[in-house]
Amino acid sequence: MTDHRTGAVQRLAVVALLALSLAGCAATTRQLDTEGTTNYDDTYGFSDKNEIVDVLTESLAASRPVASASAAPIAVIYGVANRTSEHIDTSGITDDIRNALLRSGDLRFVSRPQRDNLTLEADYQYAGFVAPEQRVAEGRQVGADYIVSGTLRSISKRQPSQWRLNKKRYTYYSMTLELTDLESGELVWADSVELARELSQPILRW
Amino acid sequence: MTGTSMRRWPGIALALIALIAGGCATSGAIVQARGDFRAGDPDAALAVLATGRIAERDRLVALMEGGFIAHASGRIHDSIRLLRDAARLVDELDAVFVGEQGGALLVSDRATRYRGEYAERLWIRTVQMLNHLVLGDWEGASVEARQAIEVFDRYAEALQADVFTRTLLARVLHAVGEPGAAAIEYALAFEQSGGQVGVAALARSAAREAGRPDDVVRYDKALERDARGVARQVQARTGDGSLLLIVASGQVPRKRAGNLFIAPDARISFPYYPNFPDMAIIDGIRLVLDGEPLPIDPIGTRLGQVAEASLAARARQVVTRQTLRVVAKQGLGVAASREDPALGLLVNALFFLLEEADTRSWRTLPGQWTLIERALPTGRHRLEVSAGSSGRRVVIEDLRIDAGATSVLVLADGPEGLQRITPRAAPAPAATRVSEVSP
Repeated sequence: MTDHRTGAVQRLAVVALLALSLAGCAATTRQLDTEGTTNYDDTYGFSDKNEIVDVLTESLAASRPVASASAAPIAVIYGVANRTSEHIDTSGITDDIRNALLRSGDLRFVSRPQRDNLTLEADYQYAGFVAPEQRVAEGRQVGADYIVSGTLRSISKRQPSQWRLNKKRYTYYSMTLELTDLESGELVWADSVELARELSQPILRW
Repeated sequence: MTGTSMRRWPGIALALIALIAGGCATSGAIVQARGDFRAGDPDAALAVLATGRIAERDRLVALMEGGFIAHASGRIHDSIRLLRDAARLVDELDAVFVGEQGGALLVSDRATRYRGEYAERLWIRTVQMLNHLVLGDWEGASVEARQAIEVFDRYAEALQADVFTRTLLARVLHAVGEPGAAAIEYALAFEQSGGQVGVAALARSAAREAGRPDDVVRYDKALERDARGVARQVQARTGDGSLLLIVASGQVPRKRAGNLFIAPDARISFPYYPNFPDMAIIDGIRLVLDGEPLPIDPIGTRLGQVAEASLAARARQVVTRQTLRVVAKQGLGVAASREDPALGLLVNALFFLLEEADTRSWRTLPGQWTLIERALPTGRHRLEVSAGSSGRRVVIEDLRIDAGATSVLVLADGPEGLQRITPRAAPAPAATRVSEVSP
């Protein structure tokens, strides 16, 4: 009886180990909350982008040139220069800021990347293919009041070599956004967001 | 010989043979890829690296070789991808892997995953900078420039001879509107080059913009030595443009294995760079623009010199590991001899054979990188570039120089001589190529 029970326990243990090892090998996916914070390492990720966008959108909407204007001013985005040590597509930051401000109605935008396409399309319309009454009127585009531009910077430092069990590295990001008055050339608003993170990794591994 | 030890013989012999087989040879695919590249077939080389069997311990070597082969043959996006993976792997391997080190203690350093010499870690960034410049992506190049600064900061002494990379990254940072950072790097390049006039000419404007008057004075003094005024022609006048020319020539020297016999049956094998005669010769670059010789002041780095300094910086680490290995092997040999003198002899003989220097390295790199910047009148020009005494030359029939802009020209030495690196796509796989239709 005892032998029988021991055998059953052994079989159960083998099955449990097998199940555990199979579960360990299986690929899994899970949905992440895009509004939450997820960091696998110290490099730039979507959580950082969201934080930068939230802070700077709110600040820009509350800025004097935007908040005190009788009608929503028009801006053109000249992009965010990437001054970090990572290949980051910074257009994601300006796209999200633009989307949020368009939704709130605080700013209006003209699209710089679409300028060539606008010209091409107008040329096509005036080439004789489009009925005259349906052609866009030339010389009616709106002009921008402000230029939106910015810079994303980073500083990364490793802990100096010494006897220790973990190696540490911190990375600091600073994102500055600016609003320049197109007529006067005056810098009328600027704000920045700072983020810093430390990564600690074991030096001894198997 | 006792019966017990007789029974252990086959097991011990098998284990040692497995260690030999597993520990030493470089992955065949890498050797073949290098051969294909040197024979003028980079696509075959890249195909071999993509499909051939690469031992995990040689993966970094394969990625670096693939990265340079793709770069030199114009497959820039492939090169960027491979070298990005190489940089990630270097980062991942920046730890002590206990199990692996245990194996290396009995076999050789070749049994461990290759982590790249300090110089190779820097050159991953150098080639990436060049990749982005070939694509006209100065901002992408500036990201790699900042990464290169981190490598320089970490291994400062070992890498100080690489004036080319330091100057290039400073030039890139200046171009993207960071004169402050550029001025710091130029100052280091100027110092490390021993006050080279060519570096001073490039550095002066960044120092002025960054508000470093002391540096400006230093550079002016250096420029006074330039009687022909060649270096001053770096700065474009209003309405002119400029040419940034980068030439990769020759071949980086190979690591060799040296042996030190500490007993008749014990040796230490170590990697070293021999003092090749060609390492002492700066490969002369000559330019002819629209039929007229163009005076230049090139800024060059011999990669062999940097590689040697980089290996020397690791010398203490190598010696410590070799000593530990000798002690471990001797200990095992003595233990085996106690069991059975014949077994001891066999173990010692096998350990003697297993002792092999880790001579793995990035071998497709050039022997020298040279940077030349010249202000040129706007318009289209015919430029002839020749390198070395063997008359390797390339003619660029339609070099376009735009006002206020810098045209980048990257040349590399290959089996067919000097060639301009221009972006191209990978060839379509054989199965999807349009085949000829029979009538």
